[in-house]
Formats: sequence, C-alpha cells, structure tokens
Amino acid sequence: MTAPLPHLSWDDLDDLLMGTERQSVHVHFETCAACRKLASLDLEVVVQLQRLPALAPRPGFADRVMAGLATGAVPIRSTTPLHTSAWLKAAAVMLTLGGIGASVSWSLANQSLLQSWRVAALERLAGLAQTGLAAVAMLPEAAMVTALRDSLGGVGMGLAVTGVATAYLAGVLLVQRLVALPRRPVPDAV
Amino acid sequence: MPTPDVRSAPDQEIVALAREGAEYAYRELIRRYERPVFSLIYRMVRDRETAEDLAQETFIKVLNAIASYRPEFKFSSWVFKIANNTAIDHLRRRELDTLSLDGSPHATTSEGVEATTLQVSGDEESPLEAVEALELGTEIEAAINQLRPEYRSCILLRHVEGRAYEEIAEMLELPLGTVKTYIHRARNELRLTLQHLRE
Repeated sequence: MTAPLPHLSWDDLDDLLMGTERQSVHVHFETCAACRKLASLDLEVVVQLQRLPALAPRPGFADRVMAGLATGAVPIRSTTPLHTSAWLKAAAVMLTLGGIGASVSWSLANQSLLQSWRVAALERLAGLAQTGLAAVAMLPEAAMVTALRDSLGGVGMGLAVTGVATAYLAGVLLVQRLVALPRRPVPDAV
Repeated sequence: MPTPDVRSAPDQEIVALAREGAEYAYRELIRRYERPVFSLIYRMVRDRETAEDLAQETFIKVLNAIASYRPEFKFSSWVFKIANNTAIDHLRRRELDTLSLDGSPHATTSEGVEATTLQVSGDEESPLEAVEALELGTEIEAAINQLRPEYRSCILLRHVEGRAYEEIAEMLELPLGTVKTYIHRARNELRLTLQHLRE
C-alpha cells in the first residue's frame, strides 16, 4: 500500500494519533507544510469519528428481541433464581418416589384384599359384557331401528355412512395436527 | 423474588447466567449492546427500519447461540462479529452500489459509471441521500456513506467503537495487514472527501 505522501507512512500517522510518534516526524513538520496539513486532516477525521453519537433503536427493543427469540436448546425461564427451582424439582421427585413406594408397600401388605377386589371387578365386567351383547343381538328387532331403516332406504343409508366416515377421518386428522410438536428452525449463529 | 442487580457484573458473568436460561441476563446483554450494535448496523445499511430488524436478528442469533460461545474470547468481539456479518449479508442481498468518487465498481459501461459517480458538490444529491445526510447530521456521516462496506465496517469498529487492530482482524477473520490497509484507505477517502467538500 502506498503512503499518502512520500514523507510520512501510515504507521507514522497512527503513531501521531496514539502520541507515540518518532521525534523525527516533528522535525520534519517544521519544514513540510503539506505533511503538517495531512496529519492535521487525518487527526480531524479520527476526532470526528470518535465523536459520532451512539444511535439507539426505538424504545422497547429488548421486548421485541425477547418476543422474537426462539427457545432453542436453552428454554428461557422466569426470573426465579436457579437454586430455588432445583429445590422444587427435588421435592417433586421425592414426593413421586414416596408415593410409589407407599403404594407398593400397601399392596404387598394387603394382598388378600386386593385379590378379592380383583375377583369382584371381573365378575361385574363379565355381567356387563353379557348384558351388552344381549342388547346388540336384540337391536335389529327394535322398533326404532326398523323405522329408521325403512325411512332411509338404501341410498340414504349409504350417504349417512359416508358422512359419518368422513367426519370421523377429519376428526382423526385434526387431533393429529393438534398434538403434533411444532418444528422450530435452528438459526445460524455465526 | 426480585431480579438480581447485574448492571455492574462483567460480561462473562452475565453470559454464564444467560446460558442457564435466566431472562434477566438476556435483557442485560441486550441493554449493554443494543446501542453500539444498532449504531454500527445503521451506519452500514443507512436505513433505520432495516437497521432495527438486523439488530434484532443479531441479538436473536447471539442469544440462541449463547451455549456455543467460547468464554476465552471477548463477548463484545463476538457480538460485533455477528452484527457485522448480518449487515454485510444484508448489503450483499440488496446489492447496494456503494457510491464512489470514481463510480460504482459494478458499472460496466461509461453511462453506468457516470450514473453512479458521486456528485460531491451536494447540490446534485438525490433526495434520499440529502435526507439521510441531514438525518445523520454531519459531514463525516455523509462521507462514511460513500465508503465500501468492508472499509466502512473496519473504520467504524476502529475509530467509533475503539477496537484494536488485532481485535478487528479476529472479528472479521481478516489478516492484520488487510485490516490496517482498509482502515488507512478509509481514512484517506474520508480525508479527501472532507477536503473536497470544504474547497
């Protein structure tokens, strides 16, 4: 890179700005007006640059950044300090483990009672199933079903079945969309 | 529970808290660097709304990548590096012609060179350039606008943000000699522009 003038180098100008210039530069200034002017203008440029004001974005900038921030690998927490949150987590884990332990202990100590409950529950379920099967078997003979079948006819029944199937499929798709996890793009860092 | 006062804490301490996900640490980092980052980007892209969007993008990138920040480097250098890259990427996408005293480097015909040659008298500025110059308010701001983006970022980081040559070289991933060259050429152009404006 060429120096702006034959007498001074850019290093000389940098040294002048820092106040570390060689004595020979001052000796040269005594006889060279062009270099004095060059150095003076260079200093003025730097001073004006250093005086440029720090500009500010509109108020609420931090809020806009936080709103646009993706949670990424480190989710943003509230202002709860770290040590309090850790204690709460530990307490929740202890409570859960304690509950499980208590439940298992009680079950082991009351096995005969549990057995009698199991038998009674199975008998009740069997009775319900029998009743339900009997009701389904009698359904075609029910007056309501006969009337419905007569009124709808073949085409009507077909449309009704199609409508119900479509509504069912739509419901399944909607539930799938609702429970699907959102995919966040990972921004490039640097 | 009240938020801890971290205003006087060093950057590394705030970054460590931010890595744990503390929102108040995120906000403190934004508070510390929003003005210098915005200033740098604004002087690079010369449009307030765009500068705000890019500054916002910068902080989102910084905070999203806080876990990968290496503490052995200065946090401020890292932030300015991302800010500068964001501004440069925007300028490249926009393919803004930097006004030069000798016409745009992208001009291929004599008509194109003439159309992009800066008229330094001030009377022939476009209305947009005149408004920008007024808004920024000083001759030096108008002169900075004429620099090539790579010169502009180097001179702003050196003499506005007060970064050392070595730090700028590290930030911009350029050789030290190249950084010095860019800064000296930028000072040369600013000096010549100011001299011309005053004659």
